[in-house]
Amino acid sequence: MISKDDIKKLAELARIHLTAGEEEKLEKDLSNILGYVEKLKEVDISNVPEMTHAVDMKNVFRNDDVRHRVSDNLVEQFPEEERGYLKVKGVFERE
Amino acid sequence: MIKETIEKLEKGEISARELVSHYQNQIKKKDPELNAYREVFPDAFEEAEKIDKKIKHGDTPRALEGIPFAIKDNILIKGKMSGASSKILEGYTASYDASVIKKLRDEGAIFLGRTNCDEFAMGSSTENSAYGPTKNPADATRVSGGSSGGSAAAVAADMALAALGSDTGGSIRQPAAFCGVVGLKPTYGAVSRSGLIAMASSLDQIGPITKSVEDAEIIFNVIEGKDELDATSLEAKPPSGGLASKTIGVPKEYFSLAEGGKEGLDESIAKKFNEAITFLKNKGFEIKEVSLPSVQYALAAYYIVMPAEVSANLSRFDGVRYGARAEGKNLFDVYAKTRERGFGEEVRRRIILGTYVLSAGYYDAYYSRAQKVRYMIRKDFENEFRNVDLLLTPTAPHSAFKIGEKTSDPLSMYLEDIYTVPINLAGVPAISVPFGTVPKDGKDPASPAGGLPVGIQLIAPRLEESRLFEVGKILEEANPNFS
Repeated sequence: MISKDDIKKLAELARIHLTAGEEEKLEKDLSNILGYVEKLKEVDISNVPEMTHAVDMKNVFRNDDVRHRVSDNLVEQFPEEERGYLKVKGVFERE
Repeated sequence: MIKETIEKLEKGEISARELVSHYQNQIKKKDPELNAYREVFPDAFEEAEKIDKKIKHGDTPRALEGIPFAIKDNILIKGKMSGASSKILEGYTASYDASVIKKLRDEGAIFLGRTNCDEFAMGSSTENSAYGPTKNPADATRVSGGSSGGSAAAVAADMALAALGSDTGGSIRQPAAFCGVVGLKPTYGAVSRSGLIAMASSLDQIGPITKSVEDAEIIFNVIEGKDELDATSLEAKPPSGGLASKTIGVPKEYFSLAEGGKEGLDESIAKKFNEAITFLKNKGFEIKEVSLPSVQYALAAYYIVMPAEVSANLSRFDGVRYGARAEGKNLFDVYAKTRERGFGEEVRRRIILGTYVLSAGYYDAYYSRAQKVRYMIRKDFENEFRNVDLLLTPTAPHSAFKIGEKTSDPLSMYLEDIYTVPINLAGVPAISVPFGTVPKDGKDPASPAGGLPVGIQLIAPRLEESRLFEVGKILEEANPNFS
C-alpha cells in the first residue's frame, strides 16, 4: 500500500531526516494504520457534507487596531543570534 | 476541596505558604518515583506570601485564592520553560501567559510546576515523553495514562490540589480514569486555547483534572468563555437555573467496540459500568439504550483528521526561531536534522502519516472521507441528545496497563482512546468520574495495593457542562472514600 519510496518522499516533504532502519519501520507502521482506516470505505458517505469545523462559525472579525503583545524575550529564544538579529542558513546557495 | 481549602485560608486555619509547603514536600517524597513533574517552580512561595498578605489584610478571597495547581507542559506560563515534553523545545521559555493561565492567576491560583506528558500530547500512556514515563500512583509498574498523565498523577498522589491538562482524543479523561481522579473535556470552543501548544486544532481543548466534580466545576467556571486570542472560543452559557437531568442514554455500540478481538470492553470494567447504571437508576434516573451507529468509525476518522492537523501544526518547529537547532550544511539540512533529533518516534510517525493523507491524489480517499464520517458522528450525538439528557459510558476499555506493554505496536496504543475519541470529533463535553476500583492481578480490590481505579464517562450536548457537574456529583457519591 505504501512503499519505501513513498516514505522517502514524505520525509522530504515533512523535512524530517530518517535513517534506513526508521524508513523500514515507518513503512510497516503506516501500512498497519492505513489498513485500519480502510474501514472508512464501508461507510456510505453519499450526500454527507464534510465537517470542516466543530463549531459552526464563520469569519470571526475584530477591529483592525494595533495591539501590543509583550514580546521582550523573543530575541533571547533565538537559537543563533548576531547583533540582535536572528541568524539562519542562507536560503540561496552559491554555485 | 477547593471550597474547603479557601474557607480554611479565610479563617486563618492554614496559610497559602503552608499549602505550597505541603505539596512541595509531597513532591519531594513521591515524585522521584512517579515522575509527574517536569519542573517544580521555585517562586511558588513568593506567590503564596502575596496571597497570605491579602488574606491577612481582609480581602475577600477570589475563586481560586491560594490553590496550588500543576500545569501540563504544553500550556505556556510567562517566564517559565515550556516544552510539551519534547527535545525540540529544549531551552524554550514562554514569552506570554496562556489565556487559561492568566485567568487562573487573576483568581489567585498558585503554580507549583509543570507536568510531564506524551510528547506534544501524542499518546495514551505518557511513555512518549522525551523525559521518561509518569508512573501510576496506584501501582508504579503501570502507566498513568496519557497524554496528561503527569497532571493526573500529580492530583492523584496529592502533589497538587488541582491541575490543567489538554484533551485531543481522551488525554484528560483517560489518565484521570487510570489514576482515579476527575477529568473534564469541555465543549470544543468553551475554553480558549491561546497559549496551548497546538496538536490538532479542530479537536484540542484545555480542561481541569481534580479530586472532585465540584472542583472541576469551579475551575471550568474560571477558565471558560470568549477570548479574542482564540477565534474559535465561545461565549460562556449563562446558568439557566433549572437543571435536573432525568434520562441517561447508554450507547449499545460501546459494549461491542472490539477491534479484531483485541480491544473489547474488559469484563471487570463492564461489571463496574453496570454497577454505575444500577446506582444511577436507584437515584431516580431513567436509563435508556441508545445507538450511535457511526462511532465504530470514529477512531479510523480520528487517525486521519488528527495526523493531518498535526503535520501542519508542527511545521513551525524547525529550529529557526526558538528551541533546539541542529547543525546542517544548508537550510534544508538544518530543518531535517533538527526535526530528526528533536522529535520522538511517535511524533515523527504522525507527521509522516498526516503528510501522506494530505498529499495530492489522496485527499478524497482519506481526509475528505474522514471529515464526512466525522459529520455523521456528530449527527449521531445530536440525534440521541433529542431523546436523553446525557450519555454514560466507561472512560476506557480497561484499567491502567503495564509500562512497556503497548509501546511496540502503535495501533494497539491508538485503540486506547476508542471510548473518548468520538466525543472530540463531535465537539461535545465529557467528564470522567472515578468509580471505585477493579481487582489487580486477582487481588482484593478493596485492599490498598489490590485495586486499580476505574472511570465512568458522562457526555452532554454542546455547552451543557452543567449537566455533567450535576450528575457527576451524584455519581461520585457512590465511592465517597475513594479520593
